[in-house]
Amino acid sequence: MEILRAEDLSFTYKNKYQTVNAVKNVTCGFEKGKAYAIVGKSGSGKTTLLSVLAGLEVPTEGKVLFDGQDLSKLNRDTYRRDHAAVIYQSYNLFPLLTVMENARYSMRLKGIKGEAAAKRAEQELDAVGIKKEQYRRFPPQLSGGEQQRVAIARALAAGNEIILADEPTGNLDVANSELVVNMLLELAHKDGRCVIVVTHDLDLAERMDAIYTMCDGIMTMENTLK
Amino acid sequence: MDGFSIKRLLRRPWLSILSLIIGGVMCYFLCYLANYRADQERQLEDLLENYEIQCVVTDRKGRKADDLRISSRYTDFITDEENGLGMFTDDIRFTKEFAASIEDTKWDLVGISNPNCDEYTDERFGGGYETEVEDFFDSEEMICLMSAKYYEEYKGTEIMLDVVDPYGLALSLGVGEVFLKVEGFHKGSDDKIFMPYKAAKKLCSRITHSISTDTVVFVLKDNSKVDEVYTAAETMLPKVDPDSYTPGYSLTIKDQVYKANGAKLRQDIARTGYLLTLISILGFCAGFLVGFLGTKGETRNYALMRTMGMRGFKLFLTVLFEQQILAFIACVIVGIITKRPLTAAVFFVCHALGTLIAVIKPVSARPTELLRDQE
Ligand SMILES: Nc1ncnc2c1ncn2[C@@H]1O[C@H](COP(=O)(O)OP(=O)(O)OP(=O)(O)O)[C@@H](O)[C@H]1O
Ligand SMILES: [Mg+2]
Repeated sequence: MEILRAEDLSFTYKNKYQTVNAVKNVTCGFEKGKAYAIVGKSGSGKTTLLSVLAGLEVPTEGKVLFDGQDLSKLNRDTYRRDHAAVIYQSYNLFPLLTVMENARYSMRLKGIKGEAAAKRAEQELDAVGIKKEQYRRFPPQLSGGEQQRVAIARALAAGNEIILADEPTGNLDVANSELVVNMLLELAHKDGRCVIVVTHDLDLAERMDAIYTMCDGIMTMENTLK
Repeated sequence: MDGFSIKRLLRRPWLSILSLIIGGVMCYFLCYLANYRADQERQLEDLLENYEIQCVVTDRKGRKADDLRISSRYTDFITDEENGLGMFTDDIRFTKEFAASIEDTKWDLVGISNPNCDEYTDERFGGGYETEVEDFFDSEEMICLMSAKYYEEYKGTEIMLDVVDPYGLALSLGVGEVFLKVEGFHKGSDDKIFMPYKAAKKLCSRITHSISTDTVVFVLKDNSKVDEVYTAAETMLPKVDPDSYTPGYSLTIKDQVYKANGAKLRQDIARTGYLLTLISILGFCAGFLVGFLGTKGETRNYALMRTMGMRGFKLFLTVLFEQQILAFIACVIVGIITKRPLTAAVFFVCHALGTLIAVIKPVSARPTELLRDQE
């Protein structure tokens, strides 16, 4: 079942000096329970596409459908809060909040507080392999991989069914990359979420269920591996 | 509002302490000045309402204010409500002094129109009097107040005085034997006897028709009407002219001190007003600074909040709260300490406004810029 769909999607950066057509007439769909990779060379429009899918940018043309509904008719903030979590290459956590507080943050935005939130956060942190003694640490005291896992735990705790990750392993070593990738795959296959990963790493991409290739803003290849 | 906001604040203690101190100190200064100004305003109000501007009748040259031997034409003019100065005057003090003797002892017999005429009877100058007679000073009866010592002796009796109206140095006009009933005492020197002015005037009429009064002093009813009084008095009592050789009398309104004090107070109030404005502006600047420093380097966090689905307006409120809560606490404390909650509130508003402007930009940064920053 397609939970997210781009239809004839275009996005243009416009400023005083230039107009850049970063995404051009992209049409593609994403299903729950599957993990997708978006690959392409630098500047091909991957991050831009991800931003539009996350509702952080408004498409210049075309539309994004979430669960069959046009995103422009929904509140994009609420959409991100409740349905789509974004994970970046780094700096996903508030440096002045502890691991536990970070994990609880998106629940707090949804109004989930207190015991219930604590329990839920603990459960998800445990699921991503963060140990109890790390709960009270601050993000700078964690490794890059651990930070990414806390960010994933946060998205899980908030119950977002779409995970949009922009080079989540870009800063990680092989072992940590492996952990994070496994986790993302697990999210799709076991939890039934829709995982979309932008990456340069073709090995990583090949482990996903499907690969979309972008070139100069155009989606050139749709390759379903499995 | 948000426990996490407070945690973030407490974990950046230096900025928080700075914000608390800046807010507190400036707010305190503002409240202190506001209190100072309120005090000055009270003083000014007190001056306007309660300061007694004395008006003194003198000779034309303005050299002499006693022994004027002024006639009732003038005193009537001063008391006349319709055609004279009556409507402007309050606490009119007429005195008439006689020399008196009982056998060989000499006395000063003074007719006064109210107890303020003489420091011996005026409580404000440590004097005073006591009598059973109602409206003693308004009476036309032949009654008197002696010193406490003689009152013991003559209480309730009638004393007989040989009274003379001293006319200049050489001459004196005999009034004759006068019988005065001792009806009370004053707190002054033993050789003084006070009688009601109206009764003294009656004694004068034994010698002349009209010359009746030695000193004339009165107080303005309304301190703002100095010019009106001069105008109204012009024909009978023109202003002092040192070169004048014409006989007659002049009116001097002693409003210099009143004017000087008023001007000084007004100037002080105006200056404090400027300072208050200046500090409010500085409060605005401090708020801006706090907002600027507090959000500096925080844009990524704000963008993160937005990507997690926090609404723009809520982010704005959250940041404003983070940056203002400490200043708010400082202002509340200062407002309570200085008993100036309203001034503290005004300061807080200025401060918050500065912060508000400082945080608009960082808060409205686009979340996608965060992605850009990564690359
Ligand atoms: N704010 C902007 N203003 C103008 N042009 C922009 C802006 N942001 C991105 N672009 C341009 O849009 C195009 C697509 O950028 P995008 O960041 O989506 O590429 P990308 O595929 O994510 O690249 P990378 O792999 O290096 O992250 C690029 O040519 C880029 O220069
Ligand atoms: Mg990119």
